[in-house]
Amino acid sequence: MKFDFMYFLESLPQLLKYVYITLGVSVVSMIISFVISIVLVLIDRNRTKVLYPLSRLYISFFRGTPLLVQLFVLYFGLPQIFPEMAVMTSLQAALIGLSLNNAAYLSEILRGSLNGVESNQMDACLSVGMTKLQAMRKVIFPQAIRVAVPSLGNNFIGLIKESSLTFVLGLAEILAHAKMLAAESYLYMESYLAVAVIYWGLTVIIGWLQRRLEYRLEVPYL
Amino acid sequence: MISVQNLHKSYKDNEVLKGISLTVEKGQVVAIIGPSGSGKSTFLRCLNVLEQADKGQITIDDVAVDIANLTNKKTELLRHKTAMVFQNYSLFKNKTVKENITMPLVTVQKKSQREADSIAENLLAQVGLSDKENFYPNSLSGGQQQRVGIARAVALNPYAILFDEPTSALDPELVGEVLQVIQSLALSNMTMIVVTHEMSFARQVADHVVFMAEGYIVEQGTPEEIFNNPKQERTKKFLQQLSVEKQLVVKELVI
Amino acid sequence: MKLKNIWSMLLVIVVVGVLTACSSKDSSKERGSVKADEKVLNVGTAAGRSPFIYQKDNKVIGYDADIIEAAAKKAGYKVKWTTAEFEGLFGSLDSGRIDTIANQLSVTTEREEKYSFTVPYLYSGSVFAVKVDNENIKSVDDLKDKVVGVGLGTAAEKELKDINKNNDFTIKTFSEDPTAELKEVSLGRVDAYYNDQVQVKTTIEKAKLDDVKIGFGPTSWGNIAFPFTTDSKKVEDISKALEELTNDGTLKEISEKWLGIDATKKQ
Repeated sequence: MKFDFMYFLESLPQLLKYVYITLGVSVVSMIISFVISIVLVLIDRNRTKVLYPLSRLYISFFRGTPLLVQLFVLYFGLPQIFPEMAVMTSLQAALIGLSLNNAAYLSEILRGSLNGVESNQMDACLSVGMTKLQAMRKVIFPQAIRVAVPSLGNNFIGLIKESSLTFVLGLAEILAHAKMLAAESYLYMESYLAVAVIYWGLTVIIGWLQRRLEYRLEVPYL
Repeated sequence: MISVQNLHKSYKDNEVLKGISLTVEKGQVVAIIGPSGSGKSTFLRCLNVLEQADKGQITIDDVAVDIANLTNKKTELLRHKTAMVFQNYSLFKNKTVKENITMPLVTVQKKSQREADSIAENLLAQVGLSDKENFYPNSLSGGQQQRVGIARAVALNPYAILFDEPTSALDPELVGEVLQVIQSLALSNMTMIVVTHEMSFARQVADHVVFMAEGYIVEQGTPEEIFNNPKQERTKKFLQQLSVEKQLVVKELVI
Repeated sequence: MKLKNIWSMLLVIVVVGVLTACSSKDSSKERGSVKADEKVLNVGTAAGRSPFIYQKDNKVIGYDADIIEAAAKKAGYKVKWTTAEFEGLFGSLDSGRIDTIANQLSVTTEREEKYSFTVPYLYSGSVFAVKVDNENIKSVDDLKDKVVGVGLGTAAEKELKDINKNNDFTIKTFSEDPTAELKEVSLGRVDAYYNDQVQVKTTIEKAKLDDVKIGFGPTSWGNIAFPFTTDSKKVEDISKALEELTNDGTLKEISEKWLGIDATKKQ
């Protein structure tokens, strides 16, 4: 079997056109899930009544079931019970599904990092009269983030690749286009390798940004 | 005036404070001494409400609180009356030396950044750390960190400053510089409660010495009374033990 | 501080990403440019089966595409395409997001219980593909103790299970991708591969799988048609249009154009 190198090269720019979908969906989901995970982790730390067991259930469900199943239930299952949900577009469903799923993982990452912040830091904040929320925002969270960044980077890279699952909802992201390209040309290896190179490039860039961020956050501790 | 009446605190079945009552006049320097586990630190933390006592009354300046019906609002008011200096310094690790001092002023006391900056610069000059204002805590020695900790507490302009074994974590050669700062504060008429193991310091600086053991105040009085004429057996035993330990340390050093 | 720059940079990426995502969605709506009085037929496909249905330059084309476009036009509908993973197509159909699926779907008894099919637009005969030098597999009996590959969840899989009632041979299922599965034959991981004859023939040609050939078949015929939900009113219109197109020879023309044979009849 021959490898059509020209086709491989030609498919790169064709696929690159759709990087913005993969990247856009991943970044937006990352941000939404980050916000949700902060709420989850605050509930966890305060052991808020009623909400605490619910948040544990949430995390358990979204970590314990396949993302594909969650996307199916969200996009196809729920509209059969609540017909008004059928107005949801595949982009919206993808963003909601990925965000809800990823928040469960992020909240566990954040929980671990927050536990790693020395307890005297909270004491110091309270002793100067700060509220718990001010303490979290100004002192505890920034310190936890430093510990969390490597895991967050890992999580984001995972999210980028998982976003390809949203093709079942009809969101044609970059891997979907590679599949269709392959189906059209019968050049599977070429198309898939092209998309692999693009994914790899993305993660290299993200890894670079992550290390820069890590360096910045490390400054107070050098 | 600081007035504490019948303060109790337990952790599960372990009663740490068994009814502490104490009065501290404005401008007074009170040293609390006693064996470890006697409840000294817990007492200070209860005054700052880092720990909530189980029952008792606390009055600091114009804020009077009965622990039985402590509200969030009251907690806040009481906390604002005191500032704390910790054994392990507890500086904000993600903030520079200067930010450690200005951040509470801006976020809690709503001072302008400029005003906070000038307060910080002033105090850092007083504790001899002007050249370190943009350093992070991790790059300072323990003695320097503790001096920043004291400056942070003073900046808040509290009614009283609570010192929780401020020199216990320091290398011996760094103890002096910190004690010097505390001593100069005492001279400026700041109300202070100092939990300490430095007996010579307590003797020199304190107006009033409190000896605590097993959750009680066993004896209190002037440094003269406590160190030279202790009345209670428990106090005598503690002071004797200390001098024996000191001799042992000296012996070890000689050998 | 530099850190703030990174965050603001990220924020810009997000905003741009969302905006372009939204605007591209708008443009896809425009592409379908639906006038208020025009009837729309939402058709879903995985667009992964050349020459039947696939994408080129962002347009869905192929035999199935031409058929449904022609039938829709005849019945007065405008086709609006949705591409999604095969596994998601039936979910989209059930939840009413699409009206029908154009993806070489065989009519099976199970599917007939749940959906209303149009009249068939293609008769598919499935064949067994084997290695080019394999002269030993010429009939179902020769498959004894062999391994046969087939696409998971396809009608061919069901047929193959019927053929293998006595468990004479082992069935290995794959996620539907004919090229990869035929490669399993050339790599010797399976002894034979069972799929539609046109599919197998085209794949061997296009993917240049020189060491694979059709062993024997077709042994049975399947009907390929468009499924609609049972409460859909559009199935009648499309069925009627398909019949008219069969009669006036349009279907035959389309078949010959894409497949090289007239697959609208059993042969």
